[in-house]
Amino acid sequence: MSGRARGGSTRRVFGRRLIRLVFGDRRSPEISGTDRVDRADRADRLTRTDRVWPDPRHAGDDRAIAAAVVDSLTDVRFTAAMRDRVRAATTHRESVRDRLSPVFGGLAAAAVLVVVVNVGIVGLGGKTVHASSATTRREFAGDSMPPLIPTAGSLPGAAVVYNQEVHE
Amino acid sequence: MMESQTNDERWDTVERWMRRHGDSVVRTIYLLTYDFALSEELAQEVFIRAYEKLHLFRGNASEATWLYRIAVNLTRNRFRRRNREVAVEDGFFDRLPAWDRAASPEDALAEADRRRAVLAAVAELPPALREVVTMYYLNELSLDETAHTLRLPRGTVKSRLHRARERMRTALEGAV
Repeated sequence: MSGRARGGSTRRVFGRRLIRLVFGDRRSPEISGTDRVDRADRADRLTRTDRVWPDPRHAGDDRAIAAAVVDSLTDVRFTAAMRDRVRAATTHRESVRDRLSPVFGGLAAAAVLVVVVNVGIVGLGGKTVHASSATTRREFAGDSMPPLIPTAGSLPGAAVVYNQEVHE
Repeated sequence: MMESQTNDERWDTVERWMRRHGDSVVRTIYLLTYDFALSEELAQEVFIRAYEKLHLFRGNASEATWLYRIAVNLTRNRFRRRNREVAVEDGFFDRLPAWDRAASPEDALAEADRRRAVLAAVAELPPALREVVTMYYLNELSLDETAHTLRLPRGTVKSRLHRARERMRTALEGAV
């Protein structure tokens, strides 16, 4: 875990940079050594900020303005009640997950079974068709006649007619 | 990635993060939404997600950056789903705390005006610029951390910061 080392209070951290942006930086160049921002980045930012926001009216009262903005947001907090709700929600979701996991497990197993059975059926059917096609090709190759259907007598309609035509 | 933890261990971690980063997370969302109720709801959701996805957390990024990223994603999703723009709540500025360190009532009024001006200027920014301003200035992330959190190239972050500064300067001229 790489927690960030911060200098000063959360309140100061929260608004300092925004105020520096808006009202310009009139502080001394010294910035907390615990700030993780690298020196080049920081120097670049201060230079740009001063260039963009050179309003001299605010010289000297940056800190007061920064505190004002921080104060304006002090009532936006992550409260203990919110922590409790997070705790309750995570507990609830865990229990739901625990209850439903056997159901999902069963459904998944059933789905796998269905897939396996279907693949088996299709595979078997494919082989049968292939074999009969080969037989047909072999019989045609022999006497140039279409194959007779031995069980045609027990079949209705077209197959019987076909067999009779072949015999004729 | 975090090694597999028991539920209690995960909760201990998330609870520690809530104490350490809860305020900044809810304020981040607040500045993206300008909606107290929504920011509270989404901040809670951030930590619920963190609890559920803790095994995906890599130690090479700071936990704060990871939480901010979750917060930004949740906020983006919420606004995409609602298809709405951020609007400052009615009466928001009236609910700002009083400036109790002012030397006089006149100073208090002046400070209140400044606060309103700053927050209104941020609220006027389009979401893409407001995200960058929030991460870079409020949360004090570096350019690279901001880029990482928002999944943007570093150059895009810089250009958006520049545009945000220009807009805020224009908005605040004469107001403060």
